[in-house]
Amino acid sequence: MLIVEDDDDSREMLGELISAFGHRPLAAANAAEALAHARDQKPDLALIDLGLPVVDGCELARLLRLAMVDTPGLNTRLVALTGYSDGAMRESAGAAGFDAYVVKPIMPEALEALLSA
Amino acid sequence: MNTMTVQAPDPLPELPTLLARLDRLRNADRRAASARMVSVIGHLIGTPLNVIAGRAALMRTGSPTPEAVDENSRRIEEQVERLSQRIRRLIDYFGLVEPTAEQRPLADVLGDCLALYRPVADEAGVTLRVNVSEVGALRVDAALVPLALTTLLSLAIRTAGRGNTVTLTGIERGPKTVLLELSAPGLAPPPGRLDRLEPPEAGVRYDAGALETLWLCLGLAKRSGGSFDVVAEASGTGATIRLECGHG
Repeated sequence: MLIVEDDDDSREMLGELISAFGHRPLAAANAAEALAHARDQKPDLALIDLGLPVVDGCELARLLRLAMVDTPGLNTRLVALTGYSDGAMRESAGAAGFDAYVVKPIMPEALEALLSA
Repeated sequence: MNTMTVQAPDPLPELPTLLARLDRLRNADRRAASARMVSVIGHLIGTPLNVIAGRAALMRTGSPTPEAVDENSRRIEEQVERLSQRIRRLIDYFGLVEPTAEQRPLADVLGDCLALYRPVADEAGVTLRVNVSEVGALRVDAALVPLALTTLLSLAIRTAGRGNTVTLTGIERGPKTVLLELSAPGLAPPPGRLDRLEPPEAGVRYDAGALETLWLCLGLAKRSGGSFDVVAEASGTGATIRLECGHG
């Protein structure tokens, strides 16, 4: 499970929680790290914060979709994680290729359900 | 380059129609600004809340060691402090607007407001009654009070319904405060204390624009050194809007 989050506290906590739920977390603080992890490790799911610096979450989703075309075995479910709940942001995320959109705070039970889906 | 000429309709709509349109725009603008602000606040507090929820879950998942419990507790405290700082900054930011120093007699302020809204009331079939003779000479904030009054008059008239009466009464409340009471016979009282009110549950709609209007006036009243409340009429229909503001 790939976590892409620039906030250290949030990234660390999500990693520990994903481990506690029995999955193997991969952590990335930016889009470049996320793309490298995705190509190498081919995660089942990527939890991506939309407010990433430089290359934002929507742009990263587009890049990951492109990477899925030319990387054999890479077929990752993309989940947007954000504090923004307005309709425009949700639409942008959908257009960028996210499969799901989750508004922070995500409750641990909801995260576990998401990972198991 | 393509150009387009836009002409004002000829003849121009009557003043009440223009004011009603302006009112709709003001409400739509407030609603859009509120939605944007709420979204930003959600973004600012979402990450710390996420960490708190996650750390709390880690403490009750499996059999955490005492060290893990200590560490998670410490992280939760850090995030609570981070959250508090962000909320304090937001409050400081929105508190930057100060009332103007300029003051005008209440009677003049009211005269201007009534000149605008009496035609609107006439067209809506609503009678406007004003009883402020005792407090007309008191000087009030020349910017905040007209803004609050026009906003409230508009709301009271819009919700009153044809054949009803909207009454504005002014009462001096001590050496520094004047109370303006506005009867709004068609306004449902808000579903709770305004300063404690949370947005309605999804699917439950309070009068469109009314909640934003009342919140705006609560803020204006506080900035002018007063208070604001809406109380249900004893008869069970309608409400009385009570705006207290400071006077010089």
